[in-house]
Amino acid sequence: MAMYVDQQPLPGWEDVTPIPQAECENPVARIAYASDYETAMDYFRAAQASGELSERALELTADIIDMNSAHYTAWQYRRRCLFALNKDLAEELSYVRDVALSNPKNYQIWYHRRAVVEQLGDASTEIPFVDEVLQLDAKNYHAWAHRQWALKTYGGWEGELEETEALLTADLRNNSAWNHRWFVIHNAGVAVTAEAVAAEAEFALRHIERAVHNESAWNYLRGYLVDGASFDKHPQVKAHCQKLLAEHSGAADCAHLHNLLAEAHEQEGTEESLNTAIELLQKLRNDIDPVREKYWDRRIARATAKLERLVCA
Amino acid sequence: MPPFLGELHRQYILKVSKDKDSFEYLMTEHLRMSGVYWGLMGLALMGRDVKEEMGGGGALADWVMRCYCPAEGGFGGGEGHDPHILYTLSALQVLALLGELRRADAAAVTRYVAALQRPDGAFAGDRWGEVDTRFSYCALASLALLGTLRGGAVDVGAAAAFVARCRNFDGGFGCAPGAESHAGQVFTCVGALAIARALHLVDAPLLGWWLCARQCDSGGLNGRPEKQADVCYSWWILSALAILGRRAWIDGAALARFILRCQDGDGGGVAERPGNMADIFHTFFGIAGLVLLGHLKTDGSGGADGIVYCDVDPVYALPSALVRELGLESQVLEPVPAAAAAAA
Repeated sequence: MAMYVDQQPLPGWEDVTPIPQAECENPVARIAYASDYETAMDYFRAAQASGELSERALELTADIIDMNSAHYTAWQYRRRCLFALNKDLAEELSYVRDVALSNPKNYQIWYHRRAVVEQLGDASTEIPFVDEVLQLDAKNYHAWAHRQWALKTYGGWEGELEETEALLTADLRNNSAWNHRWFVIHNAGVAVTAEAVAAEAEFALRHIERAVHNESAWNYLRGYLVDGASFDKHPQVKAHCQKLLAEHSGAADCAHLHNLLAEAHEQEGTEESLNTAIELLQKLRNDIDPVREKYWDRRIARATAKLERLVCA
Repeated sequence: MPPFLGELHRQYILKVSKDKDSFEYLMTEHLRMSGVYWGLMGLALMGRDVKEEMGGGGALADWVMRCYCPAEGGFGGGEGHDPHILYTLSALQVLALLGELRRADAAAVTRYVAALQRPDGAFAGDRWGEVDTRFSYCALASLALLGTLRGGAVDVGAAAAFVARCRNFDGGFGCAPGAESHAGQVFTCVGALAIARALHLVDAPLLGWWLCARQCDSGGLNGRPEKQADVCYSWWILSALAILGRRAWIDGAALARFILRCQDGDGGGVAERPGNMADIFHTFFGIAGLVLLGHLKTDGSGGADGIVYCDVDPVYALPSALVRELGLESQVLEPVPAAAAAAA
């Protein structure tokens, strides 16, 4: 094989014939990193072909992962080696932690971690691990999904609500934290009573006061107001929003505020309230949020149709 | 409005496909199947004959089949890679684009996909068992391509029911029940439900709002609230809106301008946002977004560049003409009427 003229066989693998990448006919000068990767991959293919599950194969997967952490087959082979060799899985969690902290956007490490934890039967490390990753990136999608899996599978709900509060105090625009709060409230086994809904609405509105344009808080609030009579059940929400509109410095061009108030007025359904809704929606369409003009047109049409039915009745 | 640099992008795609010595080529070996699909689609939407561009397509189809694992019935991302449902779909899409779908062993691949379905209707990605709604889309789309969706191999109703459990309070969908709504997951969930003919499980007005709320001041679309705009969401979001009949809710001119600003005017290709490096993934999704927006005309009335662009199917992410030819079906909602008509 021409490409190995300059290279020694990989130490520890002298008994194996490496298998090169099939398409490669004319190797040209490459940077050293790529050459190490190619060498590792050539021996990896040989190991796969022979089905070798060994310490050296395990090390080889670590080398490949170090150079290309998205290589899903290397991760799978690593699992096979780990389980076949009955390796210390707590140590493996430590290894995965190191890889995760250097490659937080990587998909593969999360499933690998899950598989190891399932085999170990102990998830006590997982919430602290997710916390570490969230320190680097508080919105890491995989980290949050992993946290939810750990909670659903192994419990540990105490403190989760407080965790979301702390995260939102630090960054109230963290959509993942808002989603997690919803998840905890609806999955921790405690009934979601009308009082709980009122409390969550209040929680959302408190954060809205801090940053009135924060989309996540408004979506969260609206999430609780889904049934046809929700604004009647929670009149304090509409009252709070009207106060915001009148007094908050950022209110004049806040699309979300105008949107929610329009919904509240539309739900009320009287001639006066429908006219108010239409006024708010027209302001959204023309001044505040013209990029979504077609969406507001639709809402205006719906409110107008309701008004016409009322007036003609 | 910046011009669309079609021929430059074509050269970029061809260069990337041929440059087997590049570092990028080496490092993306494990997902090459998807890379090939993205590249071929970029060419196809620009009206190119992909078989011709790939020197007849025979060698490429042979390579696809070398990534097939007959023992399991699935395709890997590259040669010697374990089969996975993501690359199984990409492989079938590539074969379809090359007119070589018959080379896939429909019965064996169907068995592979069916074996990945769990009792709760969800699909695992491979034999290791990771579950994600992306895999639900890959499973249903794969079977639709093979013509075995309704043959009873998988429980389509259960598949739809699992996807519905991943619907969130904001109308969006996540990777698993309770997971945060994310535009990419929204596409795969809405796409899966479209193939399953179960769009009644979507709160279309609410999700339509969430999707069009992704449009930022730059005109670009983000994937979740308070995140940055990225060209790939031009596809995930626009296609989902098209399926829901609400494509008009995005400001098309503003989005087109954003995508066009993400082009690399020197080497070609499209980047995730203006000024970043181009890649095949964003090149495909940028072009697909511009086609769905109607910015690139598919009726032959295009400009001086002489390119006749091709319509893209929002459910299957394949040229619409190919989808018709293969007889692929899906449910899409009627476009929501414009304001004047709605008042009636």
